[in-house]
Amino acid sequence: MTTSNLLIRITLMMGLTLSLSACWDNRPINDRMLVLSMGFDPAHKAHQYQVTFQAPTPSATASSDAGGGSSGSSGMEVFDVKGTGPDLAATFSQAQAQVSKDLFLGQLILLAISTKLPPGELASIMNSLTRIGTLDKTPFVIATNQSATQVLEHTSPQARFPCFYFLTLFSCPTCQTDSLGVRLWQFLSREATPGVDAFLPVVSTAPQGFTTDTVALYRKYRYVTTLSPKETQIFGILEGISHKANFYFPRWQADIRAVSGGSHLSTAVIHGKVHATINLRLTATLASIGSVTEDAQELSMVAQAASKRITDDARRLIKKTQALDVDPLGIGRMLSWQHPRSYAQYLPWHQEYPKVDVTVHCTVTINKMGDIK
Amino acid sequence: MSTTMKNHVPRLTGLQFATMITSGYVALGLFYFPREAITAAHRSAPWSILLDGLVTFALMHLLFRMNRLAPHLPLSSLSPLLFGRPIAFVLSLYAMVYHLLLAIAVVVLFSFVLGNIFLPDTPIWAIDAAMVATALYMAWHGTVGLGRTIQAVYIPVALLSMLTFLATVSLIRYPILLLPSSHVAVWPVLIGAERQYATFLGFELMVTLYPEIAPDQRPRAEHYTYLGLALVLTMFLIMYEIIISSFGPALTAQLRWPIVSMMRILSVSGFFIDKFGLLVVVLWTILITSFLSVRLWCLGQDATALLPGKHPTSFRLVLLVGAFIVVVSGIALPNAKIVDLLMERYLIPFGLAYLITVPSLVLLAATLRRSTVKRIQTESSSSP
Repeated sequence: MTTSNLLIRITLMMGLTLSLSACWDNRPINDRMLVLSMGFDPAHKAHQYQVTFQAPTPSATASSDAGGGSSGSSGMEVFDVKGTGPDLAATFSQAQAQVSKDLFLGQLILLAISTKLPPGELASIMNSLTRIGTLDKTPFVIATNQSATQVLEHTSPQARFPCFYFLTLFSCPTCQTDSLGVRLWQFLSREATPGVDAFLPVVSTAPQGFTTDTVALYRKYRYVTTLSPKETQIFGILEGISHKANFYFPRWQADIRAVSGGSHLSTAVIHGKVHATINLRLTATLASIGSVTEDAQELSMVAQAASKRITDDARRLIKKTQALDVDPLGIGRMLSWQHPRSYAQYLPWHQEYPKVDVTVHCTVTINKMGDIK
Repeated sequence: MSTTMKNHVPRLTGLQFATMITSGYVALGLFYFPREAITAAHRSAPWSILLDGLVTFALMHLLFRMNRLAPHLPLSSLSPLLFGRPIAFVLSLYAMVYHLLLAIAVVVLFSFVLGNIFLPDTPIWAIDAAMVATALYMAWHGTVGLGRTIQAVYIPVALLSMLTFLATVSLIRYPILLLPSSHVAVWPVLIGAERQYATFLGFELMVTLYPEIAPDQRPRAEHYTYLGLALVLTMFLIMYEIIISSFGPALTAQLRWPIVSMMRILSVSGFFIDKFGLLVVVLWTILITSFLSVRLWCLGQDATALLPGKHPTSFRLVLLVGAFIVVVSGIALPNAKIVDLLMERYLIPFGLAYLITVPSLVLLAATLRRSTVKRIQTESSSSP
């Protein structure tokens, strides 16, 4: 190979390397405002909503640490810009006009949604979010009965930015009573799938941070209700996402904790009626009991009582959802997967769901009892 | 350069041939797989994918039989002897348009993936041009250089992609969806298979590439090509299973690029790159440039066979013209939706028609004109 040929080749290779480096999109991080959280609240005008874009301040970005640090002591850690409009693009333009940097949505961690948001607006928001190319579908989504902005602006001593609190919380399923974290794609999957309704963890502010022990049920982007903490615990068991549920039995002064295990849902159509069976096989830890050394009979009775309690509570919860026409357990979805032809006869599913005969079988096994004989 | 050039010695190994063939068909359908099959056949989509695999196997078998008639000659040289020049010219033109259309489709699809996800501020033409220029450089130095380059870059990236995709098993949420539906409706399965066929459409380049294999490597090349197909089919079925049992059929049908979406939600905690799946998607540029380079190379081969002189300059001129057409056409197509529509309505039927008609016609003509075929074979065995 001649020298000139070699030079041409080297030049070409360098040119190709540069052209493939995507430097066109190169934007220094200092020129970007990385939005970590977005909050969605209803606006005063009909068919409009308010969006809060929350980003860390430049000084907080420079010294950010997801793992710890406390807020408040060193001034403002995050700041908000807000926009109101009929669609996400309009609110984004308003927000962009208020900042000197490029508002970047590719690093979103948290989406907070007010339960007061009308279904049309929520559907529009979700549709717009999924069209943002740089935004993957992994941010966690939370609902709140308060204002979403209020939740985002609330601080916790456990995390520097509010979104990091939820990132830590939801990224560790076993750290919660129920693994309530819902990512955007999981929410979208439920909304897209016939025969199942979506749920979101409900967050409320507390003096020392946040409380997350309830879920909001949605039917096609319409907020339906918020379950109580006790119902949420049962919902977690039925969904198979329970990790630290606990129950107290005054008769034996017994407390069981860490109730968790699999939940198996199956459906059948018998004589034209839809039947659903939920089998729960749970394990639990004995947290305390009246006698110092428990006997096998006592344990068996506590386990049986726990099984009965969970079964009864589950039946009550299912009846409540049937009364509300909302199917968060996905009985319709399971019917469509197991018996697609039968499912097609029961459309629209929300009219059929209240009539479904649901059976719950629950077996609790106490397999950990501590170190006392 | 050209097969018919003097003193040309075919030197591709079996593995290089099989890698080039595999790189020539996997990339096109990779992005929207398995959306089309699921949209049409729902949970019977595995049957559509399997059917695609079987059809591809049968058509590969047919093409290999055709290639074995005169293993040293590309179709552009064999067809004038069997059909006469006018029909041979039409067949060559058909093949060239086929190569160009596939190249345009893959460039447009991937540039929209890159533009939408990673490079929102970069003009699409710049992404198109960068990819095509790289592919052009790869194809520029002929068959063996191209074969070696593809072998060196394609296999590691394909393996990394497979391993990464297997890591997404942790995202499976509905194991019941791993089983295909017991209610198989034949028509939706056929529709799904047809619409998803772009995934396998590009293997027709084996017609042009076969004469480039070293003679002693031909049986091995065929064997590896079938093995490649089996691997691709297995991987696609695994991808389907993971995607449907994670996203569910309803959401998958709504996603523009389900595999890319799957890779994007994959997060490897503890690894120095959090979004590891995204890195793999960027590495797919290598798969695309490999696909493009073999397309351009085939275009160059088929076109120079029609030109007098068979000079390397002609081959490179065709490469340049082909690359220019690909870039300009890529810019002319406004969005990914239009590409979807054009692929479904025109490219898949056009490609399937080629894959079925050409080997069938050649094999029929060879049966009817046994003496001509024998003469060609004798000439080839006596030629140096």
